[in-house]
Formats: sequence, structure tokens, C-alpha cells
Amino acid sequence: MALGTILLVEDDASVRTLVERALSVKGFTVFAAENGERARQIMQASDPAAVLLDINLPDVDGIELCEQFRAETKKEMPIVFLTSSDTSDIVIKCLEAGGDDFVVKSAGVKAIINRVESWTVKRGYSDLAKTRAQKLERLRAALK
Amino acid sequence: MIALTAHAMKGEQDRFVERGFDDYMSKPVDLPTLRDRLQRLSRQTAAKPPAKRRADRGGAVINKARLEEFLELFDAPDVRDILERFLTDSRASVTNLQAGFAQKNYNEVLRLAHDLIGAASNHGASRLSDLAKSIEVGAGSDEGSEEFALSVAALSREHDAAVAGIRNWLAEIDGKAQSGGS
Repeated sequence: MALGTILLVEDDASVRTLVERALSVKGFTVFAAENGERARQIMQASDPAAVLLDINLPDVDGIELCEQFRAETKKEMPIVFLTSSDTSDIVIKCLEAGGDDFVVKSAGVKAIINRVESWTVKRGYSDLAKTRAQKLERLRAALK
Repeated sequence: MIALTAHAMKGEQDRFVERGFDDYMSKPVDLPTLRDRLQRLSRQTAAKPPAKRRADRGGAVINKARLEEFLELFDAPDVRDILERFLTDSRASVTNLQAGFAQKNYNEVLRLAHDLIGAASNHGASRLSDLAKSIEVGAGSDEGSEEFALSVAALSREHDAAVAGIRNWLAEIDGKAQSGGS
């Protein structure tokens, strides 16, 4: 069962692998990026159902990257920040940059996965992507 | 043992648990709440041997609740694989962080400490994560102090403890799987 694609942007290899594997178990397709540059490439080439975005990246601030995603693409996918702390100034920055939510890494992998599910499966974002794909498919068929 | 206290602040409460209390209540004491807490504690005491309860406290090397989440998501070989990978990666982070400190490259110390906070807490190595947190805080202000140097040095020992704690837990899981399966 394919639930849609998640763009996971996280520089720490063990966290990235853990979250990637857990999302795959739950039925998501995962595109993982270890830095902002790779994340931009993936974003240009795909239409993720949601983005999980670490704040501390080696080449760019995750908050800046979120602003760029919102400014440069018309895509409305939910963006969920991965943070190490939940101090209010960080949370406010995440939301001001166009993020939808945040989850603290210390809450554990299950909490991270649950957050992605609640932004995609439960809110119908993956359905939205599916409907869009079907519409496109019909258009293509009609054009033939 | 329940601490009765006038200090209802969050930080204060954690200190009581660290010092060996099982629970805490702020004064004035509400009797129905006290009854509930006592019942809960006596159930816990009946369910768990004392040594185990101590290991489950706030200052424990590993957070078993985090590790048990892994069993809900992955099968046992994958859990082992994920955790062993974390132990290898985090060992490298500790070595690099200590090298960065020796070279006074505090930006590198800060970056590695920050990543280690998230990675360790996610993989159940709670005390390693706490130590990384104190290094992250100190890296911006206090990196010349003796206390900071001691914290950086203590990372090796704390990582060893995490390795032992996680491998013990894995062995427990294997034991349970064998006794349950046969």
C-alpha cells in the first residue's frame, strides 16, 4: 500500500536511517536528503505528500529552506520540522517560515511517524496527491 | 517514597526523582490524589523488583520506552541492525567531537553535540543525550572551563555505558523471544 512520498531532510545519518525505515514500514515512499542542496533537487523533481525538515543542516538553515520551498514552489504540502528543543522562539520561527508543525526528536521515532501520518493519511493529503495523479492520468488518456 | 514539597516547579520535581524518590506531591496535600498515588506506587512495587525500578528512573542510561517503540515498528533483526548502526555512528561522533574540542574548533563541537542530542534520545540513549545537551549549552559560552573539558571527556564513558545498556536490552529481547518461541 503506497501512502505517498515523504521528503525527509536530516543530516544525522542514524536519525535519517531510523526515520526512513520506520516510514517505509508504515507504507510511505521516502526520499531522504542529508543536506539542503539535495533536498532542493528532490523537491524540484517530485511532489511529496509531506516534508520532514531538520532545523540544523550543514549547508543551510532548515527554517530558510522552508521559506524557499514556500516561495519557489506552488506546492502546498505540509512541512513538519524536526527539532532538538521545543523552546517557543524556535517553534514560532518554524511556523512563521511557512511550516505547519514541529516534533521534538527526543519524543522518539513513533511520535515522529505519528505526526507524519496525522498530516497525510488522516488529513487526506495523500488522497489529494492520489486524486491529482488520477486527474493527470485521465487528461493524458484523453489527449491520446 | 513520595516527596512532599512546597516546590511545585518542574525542575525541582525532576531533582526529587533523580535523588531516589519514586514520586512527588506538592503541598497542600489533596487526600484523594494521595490515595491514587499510593495505590499506583504499591501496584508498581508489586509488579517490579526494586533493582529494576531503579534502572527505570530519570537518570537511567537507557530509556526502555524508546527502545520498546522499535519493536512495534520493526522485527528483531532490524531493531538490532538499527541500534548497532547508531552505536557505531555515535562512537564516531564522540571521537570527532573530542578531536574538535582538542583543536578548539567549537563550531564543530556545537554541531556534533547538537546532532548527538537528537540521535541519542531517538535511540534510547537518554543519558548520552543529556550529556550532549550540556555540551551544546556550554559550547556557546563556557568552552574554556574545566567543567566543560570534563563533560567532553565523560562522553567516552557515557557512550560505553550506552553500548552496554543497549546491548543488554537486545540480549533481554533475544531471551524473551527464545523463551516465548519454544
